[in-house]
Amino acid sequence: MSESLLYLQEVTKSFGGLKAVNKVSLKIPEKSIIGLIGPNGSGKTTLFNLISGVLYPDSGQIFFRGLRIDRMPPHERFKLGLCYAFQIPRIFRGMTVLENTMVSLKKQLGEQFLIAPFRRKWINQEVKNAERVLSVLEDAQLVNLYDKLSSELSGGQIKLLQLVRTITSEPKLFLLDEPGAGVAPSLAKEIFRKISRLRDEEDLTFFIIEHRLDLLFDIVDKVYVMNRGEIIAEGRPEEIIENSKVKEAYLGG
Amino acid sequence: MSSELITLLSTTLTFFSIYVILSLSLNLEYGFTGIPNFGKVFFFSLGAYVTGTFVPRVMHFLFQIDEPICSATASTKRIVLGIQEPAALMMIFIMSLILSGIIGAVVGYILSYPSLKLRGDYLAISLLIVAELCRVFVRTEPSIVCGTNGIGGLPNPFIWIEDAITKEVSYSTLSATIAFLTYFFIQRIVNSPYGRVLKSIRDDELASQLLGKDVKKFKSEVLMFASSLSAIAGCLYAFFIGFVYPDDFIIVWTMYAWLMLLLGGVGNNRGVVLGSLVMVMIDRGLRRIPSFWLSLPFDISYLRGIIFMVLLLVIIMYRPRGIFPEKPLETPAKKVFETFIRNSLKFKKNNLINSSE
Repeated sequence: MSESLLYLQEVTKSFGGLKAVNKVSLKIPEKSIIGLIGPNGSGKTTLFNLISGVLYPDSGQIFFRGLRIDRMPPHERFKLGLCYAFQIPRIFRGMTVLENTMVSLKKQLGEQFLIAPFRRKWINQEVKNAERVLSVLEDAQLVNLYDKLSSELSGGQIKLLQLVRTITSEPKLFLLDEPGAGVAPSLAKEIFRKISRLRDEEDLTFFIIEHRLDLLFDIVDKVYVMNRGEIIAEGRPEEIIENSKVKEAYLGG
Repeated sequence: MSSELITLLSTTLTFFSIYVILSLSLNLEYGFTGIPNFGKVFFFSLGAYVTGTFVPRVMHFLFQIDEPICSATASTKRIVLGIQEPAALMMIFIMSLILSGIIGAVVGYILSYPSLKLRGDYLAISLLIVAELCRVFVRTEPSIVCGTNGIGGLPNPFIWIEDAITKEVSYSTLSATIAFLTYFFIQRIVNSPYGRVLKSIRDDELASQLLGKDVKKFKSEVLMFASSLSAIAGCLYAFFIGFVYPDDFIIVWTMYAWLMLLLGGVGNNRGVVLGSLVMVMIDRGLRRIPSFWLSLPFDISYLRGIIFMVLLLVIIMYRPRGIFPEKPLETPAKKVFETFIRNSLKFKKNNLINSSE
């Protein structure tokens, strides 16, 4: 348990009579890319919601960096380094690209009510932050759009913005819900290449839900397969493809 | 200028200041944080009730007035004492302002709990009801501000000035100063990382939480601050008109604050100030028109309501984002980007010139 960054022990969540997530246990080691696949409605997104704090589990335990987090509010989990990018991007639509990126930075002095009116106290930090955001946005080719409202961006750009704005906050673990969905093939490839590069260069860990197995299987170390709220298989991509249970439930044929 | 015109202008300025404080605080709540406060009049009346309760009791205690607080003789005595004891009066005035602010903040904090649980329309309706219940309670409970009769004899803090015009102008200048400070402070708060977080809560509360923002804390801070400001506006209003009368604080105040907000531009403080100006001009201007000028088939005081509603419809239909729509925040980060873009453009231009040579 000590070497794994995230550790789930028999986590269960039901909605009424439906057990959306049923006694799921898994381990995510540090600096790894782990995939999560399964048919629609198998509980993948619910599992992510439980890890990120959108929902609280009915029973079971979740550990992150050795701390028990399953009763922690989402904003505290974020401060520990847990980052969640939704399947349908939830950007701040009334804010510009720059504001969207700046707001996700951690430990900003100017976010305290009593310090905010005194510009002198936080301006240095703000300028430093802005320079960091500048290089990240340049990298994502969003820098010329910095003053545009994020609702005016294209679908792919919105997806990119959601990813980019979390990178600046120095996360440890990324939960990505279908980063390749609704994105042009070339951009999807680019996103996955970037994920793999971030793992190698910045020592980040990724836990990814994705249906585009061609893209996913190129970069993952291990895959978990969910069906009806339970983990039915785990292993390396080539083992998963051959697994009969997975074929029956998800891959078809 | 004739003295009548000065009095009119200074009354208008006082009302303008009170409206500005109210609508700016509503803008902070709704325009920036997304809390639909339809109980604005409650927080406003709170300041007036605090004043109406505090001032007479303190005066009766200090100067040992024997008559019951609600009696007409007591209220005359208070006015006379106000003229005789300027220093004490000023102290009482400042203390009621501070007390209103504190009690406004406390009540705002208490009401921030339902605002965290309830969303949108439900919160709006609940606050609307709280405001109305409070009014009915205060008007039926005589021990607060003498029930339906209201309480009179709240001496204006400048009542000891003999010249009537100087007295008027002093009070309106003071109100305008408080309004300006409010504007300045809110602008400062909003154009900072703090304002950025507020906007993110407005746009998507859950996403903001998942980006590490303690939404509960931010919301209760905003409600505390905005309620405290509204209560201060209520205190200024009570001292201005000189009495507190519960039936004065009907839903219309809430509607006015919203109208000013929608008129000027949700999320734009400058717009909201303009909205308040338009409102106060129509409101005060129409009161000055003698009824024999226009031959209307209805009472002239209804004309105000009609004009406001037409104005609201026109704004919603043709400029739904208000006269001054919301703009990106003026944070230092934006300046960094502006200079970067400008420099990179210059660099490109220079490159073009060099390559053409």
